[in-house]
Amino acid sequence: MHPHLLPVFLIEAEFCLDALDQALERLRISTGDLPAWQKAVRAAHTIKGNAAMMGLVAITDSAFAAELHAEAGSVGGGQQPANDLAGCAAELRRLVDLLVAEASAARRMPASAGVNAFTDHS
Amino acid sequence: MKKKVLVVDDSLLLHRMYELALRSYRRFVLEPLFAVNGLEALDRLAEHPDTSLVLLDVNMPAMTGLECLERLRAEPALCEIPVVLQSTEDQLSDIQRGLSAGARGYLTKPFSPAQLHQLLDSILS
Repeated sequence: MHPHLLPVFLIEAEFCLDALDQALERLRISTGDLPAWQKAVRAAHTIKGNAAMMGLVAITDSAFAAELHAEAGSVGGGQQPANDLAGCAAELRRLVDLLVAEASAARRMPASAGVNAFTDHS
Repeated sequence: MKKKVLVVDDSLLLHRMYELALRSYRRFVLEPLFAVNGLEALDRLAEHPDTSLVLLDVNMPAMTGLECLERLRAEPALCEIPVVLQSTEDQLSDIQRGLSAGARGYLTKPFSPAQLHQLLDSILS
């Protein structure tokens, strides 16, 4: 993974996870809050696309599941999609935190030979 | 002479990735321009009507890629600018709509710099 891209991914992922948390907070008050569902769809979609471009399969899959639950909620509301979305958000948070920890550990190691396809033009 | 390429995506990571890939393209010198949604893209194109290509994400807030494409095609000064759509795999129906609306091609995320360069070869040559 390219060292210049990972920090950008993590900053944007953090922003989107915060947006997901805010949406979930509002959905705890009312699962009929359509703007909250839409905010969750938007945040999950951005994480999904970014993770896919970075080749982060587990995060892509969890974000895709979150997006589907949020879309289901935006159509019909209901407690089940909200619960499912909360589960996906927790898993996404765990995966991103794991990535942050791995990145921190990598910074303490000598430079790796691994290069993301986006900068490997040899 | 530089060719201007407008990247329209609400993801800052995608902006950075496109910038790296466009600057590494060897056939032409490319000048990347950026917008975060369809509305901003229309403003950028009004400022830069000599843009050679628009890389347009389908799913964006404020104005979607498809809405932006329709607005572009209705604008005489901008309607000839080639547009390439980009989206994730689960939005292929949107891609079909976009191609019907006049998009010249599409990129499915994730894509590699080589795939982008291949597409640039076919459109900018």
